[in-house]
Amino acid sequence: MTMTDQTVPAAAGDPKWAWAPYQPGDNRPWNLALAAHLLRRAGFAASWSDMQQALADGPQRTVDRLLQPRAGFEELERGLEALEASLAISESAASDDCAELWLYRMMQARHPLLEKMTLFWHGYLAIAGARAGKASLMLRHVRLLRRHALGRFDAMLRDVCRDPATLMALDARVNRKASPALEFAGALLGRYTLGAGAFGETDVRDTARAFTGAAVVADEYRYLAHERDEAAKTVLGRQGDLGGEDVLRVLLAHPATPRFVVGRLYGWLISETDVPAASLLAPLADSFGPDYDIAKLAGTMLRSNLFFSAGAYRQRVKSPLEFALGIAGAFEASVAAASLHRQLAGLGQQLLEPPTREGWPGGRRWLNRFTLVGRSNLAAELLAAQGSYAGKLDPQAVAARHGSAEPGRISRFLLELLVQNDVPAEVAGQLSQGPGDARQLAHAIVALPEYQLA
Amino acid sequence: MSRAQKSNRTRKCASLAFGILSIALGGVAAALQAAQPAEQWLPQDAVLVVHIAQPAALLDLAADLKVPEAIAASQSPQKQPGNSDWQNLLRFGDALGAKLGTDWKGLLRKLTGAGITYAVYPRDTNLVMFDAQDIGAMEQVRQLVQSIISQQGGTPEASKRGAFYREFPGGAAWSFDGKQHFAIAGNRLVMCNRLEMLKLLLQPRQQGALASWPLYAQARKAAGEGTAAWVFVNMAMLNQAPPVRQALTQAGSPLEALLGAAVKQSLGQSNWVAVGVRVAGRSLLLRAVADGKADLRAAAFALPPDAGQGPLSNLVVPRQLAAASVWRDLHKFYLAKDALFPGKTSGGILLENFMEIFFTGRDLAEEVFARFNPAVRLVVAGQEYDAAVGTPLEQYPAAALVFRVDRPDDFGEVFEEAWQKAIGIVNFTRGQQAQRGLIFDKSVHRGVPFTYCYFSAHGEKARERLPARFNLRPALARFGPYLILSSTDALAKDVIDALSREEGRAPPAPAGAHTLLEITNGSGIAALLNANRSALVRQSVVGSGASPQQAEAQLGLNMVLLQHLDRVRFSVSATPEGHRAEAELHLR
Repeated sequence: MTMTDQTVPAAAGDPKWAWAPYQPGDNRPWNLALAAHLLRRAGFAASWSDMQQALADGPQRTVDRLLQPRAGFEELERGLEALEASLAISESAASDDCAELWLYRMMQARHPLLEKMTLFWHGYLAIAGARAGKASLMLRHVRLLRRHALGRFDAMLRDVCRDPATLMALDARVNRKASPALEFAGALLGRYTLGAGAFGETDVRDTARAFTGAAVVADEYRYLAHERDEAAKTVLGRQGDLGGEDVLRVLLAHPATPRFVVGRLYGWLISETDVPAASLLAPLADSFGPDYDIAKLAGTMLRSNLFFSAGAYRQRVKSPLEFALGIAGAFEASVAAASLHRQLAGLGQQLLEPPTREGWPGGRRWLNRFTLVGRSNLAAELLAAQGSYAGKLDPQAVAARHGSAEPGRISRFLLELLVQNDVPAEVAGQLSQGPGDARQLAHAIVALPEYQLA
Repeated sequence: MSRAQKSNRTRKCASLAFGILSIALGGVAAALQAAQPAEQWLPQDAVLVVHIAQPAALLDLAADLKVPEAIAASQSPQKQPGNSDWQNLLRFGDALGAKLGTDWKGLLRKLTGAGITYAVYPRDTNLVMFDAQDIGAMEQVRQLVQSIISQQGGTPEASKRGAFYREFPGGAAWSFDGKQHFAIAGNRLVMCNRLEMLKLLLQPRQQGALASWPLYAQARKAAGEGTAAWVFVNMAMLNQAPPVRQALTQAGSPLEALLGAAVKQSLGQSNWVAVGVRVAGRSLLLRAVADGKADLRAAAFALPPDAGQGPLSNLVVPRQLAAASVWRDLHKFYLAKDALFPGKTSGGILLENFMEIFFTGRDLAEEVFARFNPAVRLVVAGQEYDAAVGTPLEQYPAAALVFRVDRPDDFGEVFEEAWQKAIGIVNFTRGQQAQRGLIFDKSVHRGVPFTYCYFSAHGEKARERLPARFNLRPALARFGPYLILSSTDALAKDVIDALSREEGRAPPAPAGAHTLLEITNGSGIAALLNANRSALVRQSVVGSGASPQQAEAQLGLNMVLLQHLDRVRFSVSATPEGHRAEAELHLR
């Protein structure tokens, strides 16, 4: 069974139904398509074993599992920390060096949801390495995002306001009373908390003044008391000699903040093709606001009826990164991150260098006639027997490993693995009659429109 | 094309293979009567031929150095569960070893005792030939293959893959997958990726053999007699290939041109390159000869004008890792810049502008480069870090360039001014990025005053994990006619000591050489790799997709191999006949 023949249920707009945990039933059974859908959204890739495990566990247990690290996570973290050691103190490394290591970490998939959420927060905060200036600062920035990715939003926000990479990138290296950091304040109000339209010019100016004294000295956050503006400020109606912490409390207590975060996460986890009604998001925002527990919010979304409905199924366009890591993960291998990073940049997603202050525009803007050809070329290289990726992805071997070695079964296996048979029957028929070579067949499948959708 | 059609086509290919071989094998017996040398078997027009005439000598050396053990240790974690080719090869080797009553090492000796030949031909054709000492071992291989094929070969899947097995008098030909084709003929096992080539090899050939090809014969002679192995490269053909042509005609960066233009020009003019390898105890002696001559007009800066001139002998300093000595006339190089870099890049112009700033508007040709003697030396050594400062996490070796200059008292100051300006620019740029700058200081060694600079460690918390900048303490010293430009003051002092030992006598120049490179301490390089293990593993992990364990294993293998390296001496000379490179690898 696939999801393609389902329509958005009429109850999808009903918050009560939408956010209630999905219970498989005769009319909406738990199947390979939904298992793969969950694994794609909560990670980057779904291997055949992962899908089978999810199929056996059912949706709720699978979400429980996704919220926890897999075996070997801590060992991997220790190993990666050792590899990051030289980057952490390097003066000559570029943000590309950090990005390559991050890509490698994503491919290891020891805690896919954590990395997926770290990537979400990277796009949300949209700090560019080129503006932060140093790879070591970006490395610390990403570590900060990872530390809080499934933690508490309020704690993350407090750390972000003292994060050297963020301050450098938002032109707030030294927030002086003579020249308050307006770009930082604008980002804090407009992109990190309230969202556009919920504040005025005075709020921005006085937020910047409230944070005066914050500085980056020798790559560390430092508070310079002599730069502090001690005059009265007014932020969102609250008056007084407000400091940065006071303003954060005001922002976090404002109802627009949880609404804004929930809205952004909805686009990341559920759907980017519709603008959800405020009433649909209200219950999530209400429950998120008090404690800002990100894992709880993500868990609610991933378990929900709405998530497993046609309103969410393949309602996102895969970013180049999701596209490439999806292929690597399906074929159970890790490829050269340095080459991949360069090619992803060519397709519009240079990790750690978001192109705009809003991050990556995403959605349909990932796709145009050039990037579609680029994706096909990247897939061809990833799946080639030789070349930049050294033939590490071997569809034939993966099919054989999962009991589908016979030529007649390979195309069926690859269609299930990569698109869960979400293709018209005539396309599936043509593919089964198509190239006998498993690499070519896999390439043909990942070039299909259906594979571009998450 | 439908699957049925494709399957049908594969079956037709397999049938065709039988057909071709049936015709080819009709006359094969004649070809096998005498165990002809490989070069009599191979056709002409090879692009590359590697012939190992004495595999036992190389295997003995490898065994002596425990190379197989090191490779095995590095390979085992890399075995992928899905790497069926590797697993199949291991299984086949184990079965054959059991049949012949020997292990892998013994098996290799039995099957390759009379030689190994690898050849590449146009149209992506390559082949390997293994010549066994006795015909019996190959017969055992054939029997094992026959039993495997009889188990698998008859299945429809095997037929679809293009598998076949065919016997002929004195041998057999087969394929497991229609991609690689094999034949055993007498004591020779051939593996080839093209069936047409296999057919050609198995046909008796009176003429047109590789050995009778003049190009090959000239190269063979140049490689010398009695080589354990030798390599032939068909440069006449490679020079027609656009990427090779481009690589050999484009100058690259100024440094690349300075170091390699003469050799590149020679290769671009060559018809062939021959490399002969000899084994002498624990030493490997390599001699590479190219028959092309460098263009004197453009590469004169790298060619000593007469036999009495050339590079000086290498300097010897404590903890030395490597040293190089070259003969490069910087004045002539600068004058040849328009010929070498016809499309001058903005980078080149920028460099020139900077040079003019550093040298205060002096004429670069006559007032700067003309002051340098063409004999330039480089020495690279490991570092001992000052405990009071700390140890960098990433450790780099120190390096020093030693120039001999005219009028050192006058030009020494000009150079020092330029050097201090360069350090000043570095400091200014680092300051813009909120990075610590270098602090100038003066020191005296053996009565020689010299300038150096250093980064302050004040405020550094983790003294055992200092940033990489603490590898640098740049120094500039003048000693007699020499200018010493060193990455550390410690090495500058060691170079002053080394130059003092020369006592002003110019050491003899190796006749005809223009480049002399020596690696003098493989263990020291291995220790350096070990000190930088984390960064190297990271580069390998992101560069190849290997796991940290795999990268560690590969690094371990490299370190084991380096530890066996006692010293390497490599020299390049221009001769009336062309270019010659000689390398001596002394192993411990």
